[in-house]
Amino acid sequence: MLATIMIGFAGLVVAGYSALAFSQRELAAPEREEIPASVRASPGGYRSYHFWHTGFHGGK
Amino acid sequence: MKTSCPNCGAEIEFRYDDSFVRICAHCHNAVERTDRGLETLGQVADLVPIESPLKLFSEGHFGNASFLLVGMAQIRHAQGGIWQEWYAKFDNRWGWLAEAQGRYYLTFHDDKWSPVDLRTLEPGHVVQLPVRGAQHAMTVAEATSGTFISARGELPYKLVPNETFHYADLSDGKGAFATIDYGDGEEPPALYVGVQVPLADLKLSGGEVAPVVEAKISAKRLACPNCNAPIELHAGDQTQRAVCAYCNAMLDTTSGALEVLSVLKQKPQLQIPLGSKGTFSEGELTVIGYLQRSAYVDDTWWPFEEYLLFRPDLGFRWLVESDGHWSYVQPIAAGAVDASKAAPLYDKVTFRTFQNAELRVDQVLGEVYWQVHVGETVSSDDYVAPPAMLSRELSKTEEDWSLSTYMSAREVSAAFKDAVTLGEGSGIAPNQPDPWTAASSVMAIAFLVLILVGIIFAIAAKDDRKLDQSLTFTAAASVAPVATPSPPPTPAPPDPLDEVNRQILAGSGSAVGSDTGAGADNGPNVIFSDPIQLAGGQNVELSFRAPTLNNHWVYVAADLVNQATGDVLNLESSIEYYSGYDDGDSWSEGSHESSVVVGPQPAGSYVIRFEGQTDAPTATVDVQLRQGVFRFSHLGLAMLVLGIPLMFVGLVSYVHEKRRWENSTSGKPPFTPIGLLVLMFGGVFIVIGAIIKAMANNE
Repeated sequence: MLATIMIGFAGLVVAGYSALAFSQRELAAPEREEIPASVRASPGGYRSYHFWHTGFHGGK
Repeated sequence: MKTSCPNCGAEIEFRYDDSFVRICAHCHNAVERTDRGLETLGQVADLVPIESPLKLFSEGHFGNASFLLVGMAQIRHAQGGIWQEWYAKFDNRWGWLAEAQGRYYLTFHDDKWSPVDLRTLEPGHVVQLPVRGAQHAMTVAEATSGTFISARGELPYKLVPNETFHYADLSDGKGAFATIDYGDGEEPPALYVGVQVPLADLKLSGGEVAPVVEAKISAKRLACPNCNAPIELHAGDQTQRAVCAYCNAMLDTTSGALEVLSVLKQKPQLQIPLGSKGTFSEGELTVIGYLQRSAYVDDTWWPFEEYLLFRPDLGFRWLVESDGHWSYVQPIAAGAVDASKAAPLYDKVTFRTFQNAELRVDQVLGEVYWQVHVGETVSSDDYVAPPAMLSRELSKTEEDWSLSTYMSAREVSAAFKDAVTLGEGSGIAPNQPDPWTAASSVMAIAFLVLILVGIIFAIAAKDDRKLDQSLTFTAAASVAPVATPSPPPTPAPPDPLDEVNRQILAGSGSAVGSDTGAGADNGPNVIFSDPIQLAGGQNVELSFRAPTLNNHWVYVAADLVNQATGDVLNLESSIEYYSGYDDGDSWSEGSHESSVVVGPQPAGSYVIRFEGQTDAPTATVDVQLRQGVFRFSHLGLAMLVLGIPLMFVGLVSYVHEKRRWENSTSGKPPFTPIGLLVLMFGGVFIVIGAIIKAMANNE
């Protein structure tokens, strides 16, 4: 019984990893947005998401 | 040749030219035929009634040859038991068919061998003997003596009644069997080589002498000469000793009438009553005897119980109990075990040495097939491969191997149809199976498979470099890229957005500065890459490297823009690296590298908009974009998910083994693959713990 459960669990992990490695997908997807071409066409008119919301301010 | 018995004058007939002795049916004298005439060798005793499916003048087959059983003899073993030999006349030779404890051995005389000195034949000794035309390793099962007590019919050798002869029995454990007959020591030894053969294979039929006793189990009822209580002997003449269940008198059963040898002081309390019938792997058997024995370990005698089981057509088996754990025990032939190495091999299974001890008989009840006495000792070796255990009991003349198979108290109760109530076992028995072994083996195999799969994916990874560019960011507002794209820019597909990008690039030289929005001192450094062709179905890795960065940080936001759809993927990464000297010791923290990976993107042309921030006057960041990269972190995560339960079941299994081997006289538990994995994982966790501790101390 215990061995059967372990076989199922181990099979799930190996199969899950294999599927992930084969599809080359990531566990978490990054932010995605659509910027209209007109905005992007305006030099300086577009600031990235990070610029407004996060950015890095140094660790020291 | 028909002639008259020289003793009584009755007619006797030598039917075969190559026979030596004929037993007179009238006076039971053994009449020898020599070149000088007939000679009587003495009178044989009446036959001891022994249950046997063999009959005199039965016809049988061995391979393609047929034979006739024309003579037989009863021989008393030095230890008191009696076995029978039947003499099979083939067309051109004689066969010796020995029958003992339900087993049959057919051997033939072989004179092409180099005699072996009897004194060298100790039990367990291996001798090279000719078997089927080739030298074969045969193990000595016993080297002892026998005495002719009775015979019938026509015999192929000179049988002298009451004469004692020495012999050694050998086997290879795979069916080959041999006897070396040393006679009384004056004649050269004779070799008989053959096989152990199932009775059914002999296809016996006919016969003029009916079996003495019904083959079906029948108890022989006698009265105890000490207390007159009924004594029941289930194993007939194979029983050598019996202990009265009422008065505890030890009785000698070998002489026909029971004789009191002694009255035992202690009367054992049995968990399974004598006469109980239990069903085991070999069918139903009857409990006919009981022994309490002790093993001398660590200066202490540790008691255990043995129940003797019997069935006429099967022979004797044992049911052994120790600390509430049970084993069903079957005898195995000497030579079946390859004991030449420290770890014996039996039936392709390697057994590990568990215990060496002296065993002592403490109490007896019921029937026993040897001349047992309280206090007798043998040396014993136990080897385990749960649920099996090999045991070797060694005396001066005999080496007995047996195979024990573990049974729980519940299984034993069920074998007796719950007629007995047995307590559960305590501790771990030497051959008790580990319920976690299978689970830990499954997990260990899965773990190895996972690593193998990971290696395959790592080898198959394309790791295709699509962008190699250097970016320079400053703390000041504007910056000029020093981009040197590599590989050369891919021609962009016709897309209206290309024009937009070109405008962007053209509008500020080669980058868009902080000409709007941000403050002059802290403005964004924005750089566009050249168009990149991304393949579909492959992940994308952006890696950043700032080898010259020191005591500063740089932050890069990268927007991957699909030129066809305008779809933007926001990525970010940061690098910080600090170093210095404190009290003469150098220190550093952070890294010069970072990376970010995203899953497959739609195939097409992309540009990347890099936007940097840094506290350094100037920070140069080398950017690479690769597709089809192998993800070590995914493999590591899967290993962790599998490794934690593996660690758990492995640890439980390890503790189980450790408890088992605490009772071993040989010391340490074996080093198994599971143990190796447990140690490996334990080592990894210890190292990680040490690193964390060291880092905490530094801070």
